[in-house]
Amino acid sequence: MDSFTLLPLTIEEASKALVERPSTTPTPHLAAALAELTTLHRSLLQFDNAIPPPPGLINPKRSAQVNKLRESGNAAFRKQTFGEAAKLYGYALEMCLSRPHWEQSALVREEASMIYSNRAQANIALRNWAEGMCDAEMSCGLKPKDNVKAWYRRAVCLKEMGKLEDAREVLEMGSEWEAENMGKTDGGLRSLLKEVLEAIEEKEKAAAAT
Amino acid sequence: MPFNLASFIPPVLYILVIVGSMATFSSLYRKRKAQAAASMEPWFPQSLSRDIYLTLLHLPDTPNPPKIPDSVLRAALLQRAMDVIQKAITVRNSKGPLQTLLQRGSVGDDTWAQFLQAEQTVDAELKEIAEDAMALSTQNQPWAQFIFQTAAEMVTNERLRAKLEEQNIKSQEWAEWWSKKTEKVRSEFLASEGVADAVAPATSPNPANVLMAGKAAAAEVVPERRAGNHSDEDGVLVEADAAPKEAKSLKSTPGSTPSGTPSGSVRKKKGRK
Repeated sequence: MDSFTLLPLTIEEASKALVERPSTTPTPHLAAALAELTTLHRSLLQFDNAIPPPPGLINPKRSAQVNKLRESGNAAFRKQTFGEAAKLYGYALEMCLSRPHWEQSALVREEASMIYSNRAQANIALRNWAEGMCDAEMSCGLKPKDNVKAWYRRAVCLKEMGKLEDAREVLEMGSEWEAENMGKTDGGLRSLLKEVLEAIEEKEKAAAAT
Repeated sequence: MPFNLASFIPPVLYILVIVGSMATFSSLYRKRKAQAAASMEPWFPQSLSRDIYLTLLHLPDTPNPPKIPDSVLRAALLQRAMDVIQKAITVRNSKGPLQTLLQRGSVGDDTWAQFLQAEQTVDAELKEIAEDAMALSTQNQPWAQFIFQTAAEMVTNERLRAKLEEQNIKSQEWAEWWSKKTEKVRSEFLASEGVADAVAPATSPNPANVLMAGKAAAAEVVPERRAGNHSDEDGVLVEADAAPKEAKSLKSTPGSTPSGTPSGSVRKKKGRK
């Protein structure tokens, strides 16, 4: 392990981009790795000495922007312009997910799950069940706990798309995560579950009748 | 003293033979072991980031060297730290299970030896990176204290993004499936009813169009589709069921699907922020 392969590397003086020198035995993936490194280098240049700060320090500007976009999305939702709201949530999401990677991932999770959940709501209002389901699923995946609304929205979309069994599964999963809150914030999961179960029964009856 | 000497020869010979054979065995054994260790397949493949970093460090030794700024070195070191962190996590996570497997005999000693070697290498590399980070840091910013924190966070973030990307692809599949399904159901419904002219403008399959048409159009999509679903399942019933619905101009959902749409639209308002 004390040896290493000397790679055919050089650096472009002006752009400081690392490039592969042409060689007889090309190294696989080297070009991609170098491109990645160059991007990382450029993004690090904003700091003194190109040392990224510890993960605890975050850029407050971006958080403010994300919040602002989300708030305007909420405002559009309140004004019943759901398409506009979904678009604004989309921008907020983009802003949130393009956070530099050395910042805390937990923060991205928190923000993104909330925005996804909101966008799911806007999509439900627009009756875009498939999009709503996907957004809600993202939200649940990012933050399964304390996220009743997302679970609920996901189930609603599935139910509306006729995927009753999936809806039941999602509702049961959501209730499980919710069980830790001792039923304080049920958020209608249980009543929806009842509805879905009834719908399934009805469907089975219909199937048996034919 | 010829008598004494003769009686001494056998034990001495005996000891010589024993010690000699033992020495031969031990030297052979050690040689084999060293050979096996050297030829052992490494646990992790050779890491490209390490090669890049070390190449950058050694470039000044080569003829006609380009000038490498420290910032590039730092970026390369960070990338290397990310790779090593991933390896360290793998090592830590697999140590327990591997030990269990070894005790049960499911895994050979050579695998265990290989693993231990990998662990040592990873530890050594971590130390090396910490030292290099210290050398590259400035006085008021001892980078060695948080380079691994940063690297670990970057690894987590990268995984998170990858997962989201995967999920995005899945979402697109869902959306496609759904738009195809609505399209199919609608065309079937329209064909079976022969009322294409009356309904077509109000109900467009494209979500974007629904978005443009606003709530009024959206409200009609669902009852329509429900009826279509039924025509899918039991074609005979629908003939009687869907016709009166057309007459009611889709305002009230038919009795055949009581739990369908209304509850959905009522709940929708409840969960809003």
